[in-house]
Amino acid sequence: MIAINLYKKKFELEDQKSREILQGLAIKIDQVRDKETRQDLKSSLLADLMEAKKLDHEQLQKIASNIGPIPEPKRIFSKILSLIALGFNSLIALAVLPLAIVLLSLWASEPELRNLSFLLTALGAVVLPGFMLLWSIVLFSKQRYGAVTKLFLAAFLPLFMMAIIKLIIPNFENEQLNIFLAVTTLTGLAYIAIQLIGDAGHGGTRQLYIAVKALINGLATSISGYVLAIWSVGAATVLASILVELAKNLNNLSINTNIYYMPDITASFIGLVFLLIFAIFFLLIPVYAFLVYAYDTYKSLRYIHKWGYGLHNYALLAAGIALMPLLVIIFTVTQFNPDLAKYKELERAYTEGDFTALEKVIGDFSEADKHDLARLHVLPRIYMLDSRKQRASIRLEDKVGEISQLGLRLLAPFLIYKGNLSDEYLAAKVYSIAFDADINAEQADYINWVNSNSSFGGLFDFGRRTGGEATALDIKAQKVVLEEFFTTVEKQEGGLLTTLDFKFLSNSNLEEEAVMVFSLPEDSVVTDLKLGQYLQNQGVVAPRAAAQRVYQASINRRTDPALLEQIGPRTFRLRVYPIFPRGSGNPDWQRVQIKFESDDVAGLVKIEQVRNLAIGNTRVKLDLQHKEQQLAASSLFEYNQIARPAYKQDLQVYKQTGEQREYTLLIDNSFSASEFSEESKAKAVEFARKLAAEGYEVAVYSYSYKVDKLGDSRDLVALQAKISELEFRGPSASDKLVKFINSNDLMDQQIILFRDDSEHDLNQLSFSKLLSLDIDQLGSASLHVYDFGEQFNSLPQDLLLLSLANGGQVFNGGIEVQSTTQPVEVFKAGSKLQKLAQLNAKLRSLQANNRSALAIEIFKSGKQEGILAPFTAYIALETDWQKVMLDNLTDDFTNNNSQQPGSTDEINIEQISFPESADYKMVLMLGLICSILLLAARRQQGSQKKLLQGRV
Amino acid sequence: MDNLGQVDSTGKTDNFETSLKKGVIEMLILRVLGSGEHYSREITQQLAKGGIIISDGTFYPLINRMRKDGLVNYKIVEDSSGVIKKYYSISPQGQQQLAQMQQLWQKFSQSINLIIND
Repeated sequence: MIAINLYKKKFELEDQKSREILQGLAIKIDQVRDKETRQDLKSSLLADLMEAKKLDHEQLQKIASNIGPIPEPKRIFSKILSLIALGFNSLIALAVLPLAIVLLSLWASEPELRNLSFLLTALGAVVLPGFMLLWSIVLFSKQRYGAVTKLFLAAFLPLFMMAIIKLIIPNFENEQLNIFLAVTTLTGLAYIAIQLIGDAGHGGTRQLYIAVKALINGLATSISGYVLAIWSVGAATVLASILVELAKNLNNLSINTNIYYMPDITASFIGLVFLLIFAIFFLLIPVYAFLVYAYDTYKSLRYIHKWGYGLHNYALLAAGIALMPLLVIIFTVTQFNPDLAKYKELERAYTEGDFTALEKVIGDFSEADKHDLARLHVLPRIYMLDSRKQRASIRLEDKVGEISQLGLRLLAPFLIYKGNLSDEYLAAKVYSIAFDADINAEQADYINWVNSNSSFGGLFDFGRRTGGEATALDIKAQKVVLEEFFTTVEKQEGGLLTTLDFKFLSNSNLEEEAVMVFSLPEDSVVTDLKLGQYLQNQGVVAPRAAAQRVYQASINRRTDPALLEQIGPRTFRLRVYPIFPRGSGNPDWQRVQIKFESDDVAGLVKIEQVRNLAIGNTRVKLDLQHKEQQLAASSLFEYNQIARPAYKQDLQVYKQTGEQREYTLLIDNSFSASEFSEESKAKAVEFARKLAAEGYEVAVYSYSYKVDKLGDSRDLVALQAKISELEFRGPSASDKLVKFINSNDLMDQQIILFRDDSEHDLNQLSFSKLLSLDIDQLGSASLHVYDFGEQFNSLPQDLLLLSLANGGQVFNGGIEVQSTTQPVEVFKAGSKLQKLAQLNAKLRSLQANNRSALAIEIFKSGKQEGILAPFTAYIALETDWQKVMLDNLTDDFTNNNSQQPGSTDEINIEQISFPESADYKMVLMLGLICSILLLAARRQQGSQKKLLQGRV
Repeated sequence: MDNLGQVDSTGKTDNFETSLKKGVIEMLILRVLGSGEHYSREITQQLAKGGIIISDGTFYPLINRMRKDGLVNYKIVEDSSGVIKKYYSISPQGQQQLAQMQQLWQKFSQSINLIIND
C-alpha cells in the first residue's frame, strides 16, 4: 500500500529531476535489510511527501536529507570472503602478466596462431584478471555485496586459473580450449560493457539499461532453467558412473573405465575423486544460477512495474522468459522420443566397433531416414524437433550448410552430439555406411563449418582447426599427414619386439615439423630410432639436453633430425624435421622407425596428441596366419578407439600361437632416374597387390637411396662417384644387403628382391655381386631375386605364388638363392627391460648431492644398452656436423662440465588423465559462462544500488 | 583549544559529536517517550528542539532495535490521508532502563564537569 502510494506520488511530481530523486530514495529504502525499518522509512517518506506544501526538487532534497545515510550492518563473513577473493585476484594478476607477454609474443611470432580465438585468449589473459583484481579491490573497500557473491567470486577464480594452467600445457592450441577461453573473454567483455551502461545510467541510457537488464534477466532465467534440466540428467549420470567405478575399484585404487559422458577415462583413484568434486560443483552451478536468475527476473519485473518503465520493457522480459517453454519442450521431446532407442543402438554399435550391428541398424532406416541420419550426426537432435513424417529429407551433400538459421545455431550448444572430438568423423563414417560412398571433401567442409559455427550461436567464426585432435576430415587442414603408420609385432624370447614405422607426407608449401605424443605399454623400453626416407640415419642415445640442443640447431640449419624423448611415465614425444613441401625437388616424405620391447600385451601404442599432423592411414600388421588381422584406421579416433582394442585382442592370440610370416619386397631403385624408379616401384607395388590378393602379407621396402636425376653426360662421372658411396654399392654390396636385412629384422621372412632395369652398368654390377652372397649371413630368410625390367608383365604369377607358398625357390629369369635353416638370432628383450628397471630404481634413489654423478651413470648405462632411459633422448641425425656437435655436448656432460641435461621432474610426476570428451569441456565451459552471467547479474544489482545511492 | 580550526579540518570534532550522540540518543528517546505517546516525527522534532538532530536513517533502525529489546511499544494509527503512523510508548522495562541511564548520566556528567572546570 505504501509502495503504491509512493508510486502515485511520483506521477504527481512535475519535473523529471524530482521524479528521479524520489525514485532513488524509494530504491535506497528498498535495499534496507530489516523489513520493519524499511516500512517505517517508507511511511516516513510518504508522510513527508503528503505534508509538504509544494513538491519540487529542492523540497525533495530536504526530505532526502531527513532520511540521511542508512547504516549497513557489519558483515565479518563478507569481509573475510572479500579478502580471499582479493588474494586470489592478486595472485592471478601477478601470475598472468608474464603469461600474457608469452602469449602475445607467440601470437606475433607463430603464423599458425594468428587467429581470432588465440588473440582473444591472450587478451583475456590480460584483461580479465586485471579487471577482476580492480573489482575485488572495490569490493573489499566498499563492502556492498553479499557473502554469496563473494563466495562465488572466490570460486570462479580458481576455475579461471585452471583454464590458464591448461593453457600453458603443451597442447595449448587445442581448439576446444581456445574456444572455451575465447568465449570466456567475450563474455567477460560483454559483462564489462553492460556494467558500464548501468553505471552511466541517466535519461535515455538508463532506459536502455533497464531494457537490457530485463531481457538479460529473462533470457538468463530461461537458459539457466534449461541448462539445469539437462545438466541434472548429465551430472547424475556422471556421478552414478563414477560412484559405481569407485565402488568396484576401491581395492585397486585405480581404474580404467569408460563413462558415457566422459569416454576413455584413465584416472587414478585421486583423479576420480577430483572428477567427483568437479561433477558435484558443476551440478551446483546451474542450481544456484537458476535460483539467482529467477530472483533477478522477479526483481526486474517489480522494478519495471513500480517505476513505470513502460510496456516495451515488460515485452522484453516476457520475450526472454518465453524461451524457457520452448527449450523445455525440446528437451522433453528429446528425452522421450521413441526413435531414440534406434539411434542409441546406432551409437553403441559404432562406439564399440560392432559394424555388423551397425549395418543392421542402418538397414532399419528408410532411404529418407538415412539422409536424415547423416544429418543427425551433424546436429543429431534436430530430428527430434519434427515428427518423422514432417521431416524433410535433407540431403547432406547439399543441405548441411543450411543449418545456418540463427534459431538452430543458438540452440546448437544444447543439441550438439554428445560424442567426442571425432564427431565429424562419425558423420563421415555413418554416411559412408549408409550410402556406400565416401563423404567428399566439400561435405566435410560443410560439417566443419556447421560445427564451428553452430557451437556458440554463430556469434563468431573461429575458422578451421589448426591443431589438436586432427580427424579424418581435417586432413586438408593439416600441414603434414601421417600417411602410413605400420605397427609390427614380433615375438621374442622374453617378450615382444614392436616396430613402429611412420611415414610423413607434406601438405604445406614450407618445410614442416611433425610432432607426435604417444604412450607405450607399461614396462616398455625403447631400443631403436631411425630416420630418413630409407631409414638410413641410425639414432643414438644421447644426454637429453644435448640432444635437444642439437635438434634445435639442426632445425635452424635445415638439417634432418628426429628426436624421441620421454615426457611422462609412459609418454613419449617424437619430433621430426623437415617434411619437405611437395614439388620442392626434395623427397616430400620422411620416415621414422621406432622399436620398443615389452614383456606383455597389456596395451599398445596410443597416440595422445599430434601437432601439425593429420592421420592418413594406419595399419596394424600381425600374425599372418589370420588374413583378417590387418586393421586399417584412417583417423586418430579410429586408431585409438577401434584398432587398438582389436589389436590388443589379436596380440593376445598371437602371443599364444607365436606364428608370423611376412613377405617383403625389396626394391633396388638406387641407380635409376626418378622416372624409372617410380615405374619400378609401381610395378613392385602391383606385384605386392597380387600377392596380397592371394592372402599373403606383403611389405614393400625401398632399400637404398633414390637418385632423382642422372643428369647429362657431363655430370655422369661425378654422379657415378657419388653413387659408388651409397649403400649396396661396390664390391661389398651383398654384405650391405645382408646387413640391411638383419638390421630391419627381416630374417624370418620370405624376401623377394627386385632390381632395376639391367641396362644400367652400375646396377648390373651390383646385381652380379649378389651371386657371391654368403647365404649363411641371411639367417633363415628366403631370398628371391628377380629382374623384372622388360619381362615384368609376363611374369608367371601362379608359379611364383606357388613357390612362395611352398617355401619359395623358384626364380624367373634371374638368380635363385637358397635359404638356410640357421635359427634367427633372438633378441633378449627381457634383459633390456630389466636394465631399464634398474636405471629407474637408481633414478628414484637420486639424492641432491649425487644427482649429477648418477645422471651420468644412467646415461652411460642407457647408451651402452641402447635404450631410452631417464636423462636421455634418442636422436637420429643426418650429417657429420650434427654428430660432432652431439659428441662435444655429450663429452661436456659426461665430464660434468655442463648443466644437468633435461630435467626428469616431468617424468616422475604421477600422471592423471582427465577426460578429453567434448562434453566434459562443454560442461566446464557452460559452468564458466553461467558463473560469469551470474556474476554479471549480481553486479548489475550492485551497480544499481551504487548508482542510486550516489545520486541522492 | 587554540588548535580548534586544525582539529575541525581533520573532522575530529564531527566524530566526537557523533560518538557522543550515539551514546546518549537511546536515553533521550526514552526520555521523550517518558512524557507520553509520540509518533516518530514528533520524537525527532522534540530532540531537534533540544539541538539533537538525527536522520530517519539513524532513527528507525535504532527505534526498531529498542522495540526488539522490549524498551518501547507501539501502536499503528492511519490518519485521514491514508498515511500510516506508529505511536511509540515507553515500556516498564524501558522506564527502568531510563532511570538507570539517567542516574549514570548524572554521575558521568558531574565527573566530566569536575575535570573540565578544574
